[in-house]
Amino acid sequence: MSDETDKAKQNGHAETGAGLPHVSRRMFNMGLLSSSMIAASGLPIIGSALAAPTRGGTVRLAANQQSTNDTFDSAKYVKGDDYIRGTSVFSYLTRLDEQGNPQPEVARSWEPNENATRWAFKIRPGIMFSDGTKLSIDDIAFSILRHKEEKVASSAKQLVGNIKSVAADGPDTMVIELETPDVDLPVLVGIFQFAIVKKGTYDFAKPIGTGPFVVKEFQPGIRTVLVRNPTYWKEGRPYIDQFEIFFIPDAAARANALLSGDVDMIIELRGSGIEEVAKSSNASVFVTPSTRYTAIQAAVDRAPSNNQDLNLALAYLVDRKRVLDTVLRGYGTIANDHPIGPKSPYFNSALPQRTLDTDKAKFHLQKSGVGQAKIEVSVSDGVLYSVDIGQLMQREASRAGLNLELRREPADSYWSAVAGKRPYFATNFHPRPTYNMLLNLAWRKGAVWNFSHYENDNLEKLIIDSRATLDPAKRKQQYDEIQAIIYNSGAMVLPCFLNYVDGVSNKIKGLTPIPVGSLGGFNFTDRIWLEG
Amino acid sequence: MLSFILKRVLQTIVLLLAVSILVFIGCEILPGDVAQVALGQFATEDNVRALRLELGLDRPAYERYLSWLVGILQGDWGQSITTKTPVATMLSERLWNTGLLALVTTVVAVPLALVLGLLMAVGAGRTWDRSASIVVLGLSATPEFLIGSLAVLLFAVQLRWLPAVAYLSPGSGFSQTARALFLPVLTLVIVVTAQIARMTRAIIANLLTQPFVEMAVLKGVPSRRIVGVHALINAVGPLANIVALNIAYLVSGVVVVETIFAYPGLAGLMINAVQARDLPVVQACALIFCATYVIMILVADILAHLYDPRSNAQAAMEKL
Amino acid sequence: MLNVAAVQRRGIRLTLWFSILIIGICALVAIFGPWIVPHDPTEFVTDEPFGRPQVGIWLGSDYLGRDLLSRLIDGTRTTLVMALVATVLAHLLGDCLGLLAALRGGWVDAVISRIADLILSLPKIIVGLVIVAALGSSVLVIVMLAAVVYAAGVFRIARALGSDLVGMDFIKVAKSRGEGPGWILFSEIFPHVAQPLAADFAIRMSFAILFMSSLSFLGLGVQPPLADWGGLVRENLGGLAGGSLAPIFPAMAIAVTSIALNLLVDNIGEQQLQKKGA
Repeated sequence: MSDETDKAKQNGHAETGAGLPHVSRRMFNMGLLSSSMIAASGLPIIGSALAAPTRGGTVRLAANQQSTNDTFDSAKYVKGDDYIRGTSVFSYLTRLDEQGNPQPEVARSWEPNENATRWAFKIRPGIMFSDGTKLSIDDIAFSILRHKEEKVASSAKQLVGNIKSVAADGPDTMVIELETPDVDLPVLVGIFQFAIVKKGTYDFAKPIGTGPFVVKEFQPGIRTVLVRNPTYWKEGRPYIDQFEIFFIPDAAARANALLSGDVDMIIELRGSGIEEVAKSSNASVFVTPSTRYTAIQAAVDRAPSNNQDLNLALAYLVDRKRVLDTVLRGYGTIANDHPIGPKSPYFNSALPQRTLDTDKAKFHLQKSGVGQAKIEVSVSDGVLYSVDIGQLMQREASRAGLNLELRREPADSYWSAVAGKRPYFATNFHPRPTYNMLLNLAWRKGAVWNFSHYENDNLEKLIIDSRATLDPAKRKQQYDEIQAIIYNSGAMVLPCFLNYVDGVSNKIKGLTPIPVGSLGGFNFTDRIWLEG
Repeated sequence: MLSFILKRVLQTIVLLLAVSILVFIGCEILPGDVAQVALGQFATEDNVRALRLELGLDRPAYERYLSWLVGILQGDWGQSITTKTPVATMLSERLWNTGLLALVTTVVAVPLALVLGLLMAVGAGRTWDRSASIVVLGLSATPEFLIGSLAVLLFAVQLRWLPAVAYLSPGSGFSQTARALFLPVLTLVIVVTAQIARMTRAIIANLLTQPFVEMAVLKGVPSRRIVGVHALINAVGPLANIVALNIAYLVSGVVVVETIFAYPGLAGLMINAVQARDLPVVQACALIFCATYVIMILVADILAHLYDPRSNAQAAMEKL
Repeated sequence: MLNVAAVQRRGIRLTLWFSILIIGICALVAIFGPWIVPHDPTEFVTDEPFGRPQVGIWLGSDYLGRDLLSRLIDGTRTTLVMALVATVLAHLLGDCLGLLAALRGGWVDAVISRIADLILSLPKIIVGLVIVAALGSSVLVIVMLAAVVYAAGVFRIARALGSDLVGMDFIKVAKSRGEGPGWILFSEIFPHVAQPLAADFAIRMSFAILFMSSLSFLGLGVQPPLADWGGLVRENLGGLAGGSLAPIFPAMAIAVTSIALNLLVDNIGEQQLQKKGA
């Protein structure tokens, strides 16, 4: 297995030849470590590369989160189907491959300066927008820099903060200047938010992009119908003529629709639905191993969740094995209360794996002095599996003599009214293309997603330093320390990493898992085809 | 009669106004505002403030309400905050879907229920009535989520006869639409028929014990005509009321069925809009629901008025 | 005619006994639930979700491997207590206001009637969704919600019953004696409307059970690990496709209880009819 892993990693790097010198790419790339995960899991890749793709047909996707917030404005994407709509209508400078490495798209190649503060991207010539105008570097610059604008209210505002300027340097070269070094910039410019739009676009009701599809019908909360873009810059793509997205919020109904052949792809299978699809002859379970997680976090700036012993007691009150077996039906990996996956080269194997341990929990409870006080943990149907994980924790807590109560909060206002505003609450994170992005977003002082309000000068320094550290050994050491700090803080109980488990009809070919999201990392519409 | 209708229409308008104010206040006190919810997990204070400004949420609530009201009076339903499209456009497809489901269900269920109820009432006390009563009662007491889930499991997943979701593709033909609608309509027909049949039986069985029926029997009217003419005429008022309530329910109360079959109807839209704090859409849905209810009741009242037994029973008797 | 009546009476007995039996069992289970559960309803008894029934785990296990029978017993208690309290509150509120409106008439009647119309015109389940979104889901919120929503219906019944009586002689006599409205309400009117209101109570309670179950089914019910019948259906609905009966049992409980309450009312009604006929 380790042989395969190494080979996959090497292949991954070899293919990403453009830009960064080979050696430094190897050092820099933390590509979600997924490189190893995919190969190691022996995942079946749907559609053999040998079979020739066929043209034509309509593919229908049932998404899980129905909302009238559906949008084509990449600054406001929040759901999986937004990302899929986005990757179908817009192009990106780069895209992630199966190993988590950036691959050329609109950018043909890239080259950093010595300390990775100035990057030159070669732009593919002759790309046209769907309205017939030519794509210019000004458009790309606007597409990145608009996320800095106050009125855009972008979710990528934090990430674009390190970008000082974007400007043309000659007809087909674009230069990005950074405030501080970032060796992962080619990954960053490929994230969903940086969809390439026309300069000056603020209204996305009728989106114009350079992607594989154009919009035929868009009814937020009901459906999106996309048809093939005849002027798409990738020769012969997309293979399918039409792509349709609609919503089935109920997990059981979604699985039923796939089983009865009403839809071709569904986002997220759950519980028994997984087994039913696995048994079926016309559809398959499509698994993407990932470091997505649902955790119970403590707000460490208030009582009672500022009590480190109480927090550590909770960490020993989760039966991680049971979470994996019963709640996730085995589709996940046991985690150790920090966000780095066990298959990552940066994983700190020196930290003892936490398990269900009532004695240790009792010891910490004793020390915490909580006694019979009621401890409330907020969970929500909007936070995947949190209600189930909460119930498992509650049960073990009652055994250890802790009076733990669950509060199921409404999903709609959860992120604004609950997460970070109650002592204990569940959070759910999709993996980012690099761990550094995630750490920056979730563990920096004052970061929006630092729901625990955890502040630690040492951690702060390690996160910043590791982004610019070139020496792999030193970087590993920095990551070991980061994991130890989070592990010991008690700010987060992270029982398991959750795979993406989706359902796909056997007619669909050419889909491969990309570990940043469901169904090929939400980026698949220009490479799938329908069998015969 | 005309003054009666006029009075009721006026009452209706006042009621709709009250509902709109109530809904507005309701949305104001919901935690989280539209900007916050629209930006979701990603929101920073700055982001939220920027979006609030963009949406004009900085204006006081009463001002926003009044401008909305003025818009409505001019026939402008306003613009959805989240999608920035006219509310009327957003409503149109959902309204059509909901209307279609309600209409088909009504057309099937109401005659079925009335005939069933009538037959049960005529045979009151006999084995047929007893057993039918139990079945109807059982169905009316079974939660619709169970009926719907079992129907999907049997007809869609096991037998593969019908689609599991009632999703209507744009431009789908009659047979496709019919297939898609079959299971939700079946579920609702079972629920609604059971309700109406039960009430019909109770009303008519009760009427059949009234003195004027006995009188007619003494006059030698064949029993079939008694039921057909007298009882039914006398029962129009209460029956219309029950049918009206059930139609109103079909328009506004079918959240569970919409959920099970992923049917994009009005109730689901309103829930989404509440979750997104999209006030203009919430208001529009609430008004439609409330108006449907009131208009249905109004029609029932008018019918009851026309067929008032106290004014008509006597006349009917004399004609015999 | 006589023959039919006899059959009817026998039928009445049968359904009456059935409904009393069911309601009795439910009441006993609700009262003694904590003492008769075979397992702690939150304890994991199997390692596999939707475990098959076996000795000691009579109905199998639920989606997290907990004992379904114990959860059903616990859910009976939750469901019935909530429905009962909600119905009692709805009737206290609706009866008092309805009879008051009938007795006083004028603007008091007009105002309360319009408010009741308002509540009735809004779809219950959507009002529920909005309220729970605003206030969060707790036992208190759901019970109060059901109480207010159903009080409007009760009000209309009580008002109609009251209006019929107001014109009658004995009320006029009482009024002319100078009795206060409170006295008239409780000593003159109430005895006459008690029986139909009792029938309404049972029907209303079956509505309340269905309403709360629907809310729970949509994920707006009581807080986990507590679950009412509707919540149990929702939790375990995923097992249906795999052949698990876990969601069927609580759904049956809802249906059977609701049937029993309705049969009880039917019988009360028909007995009343017979009494009048006699």
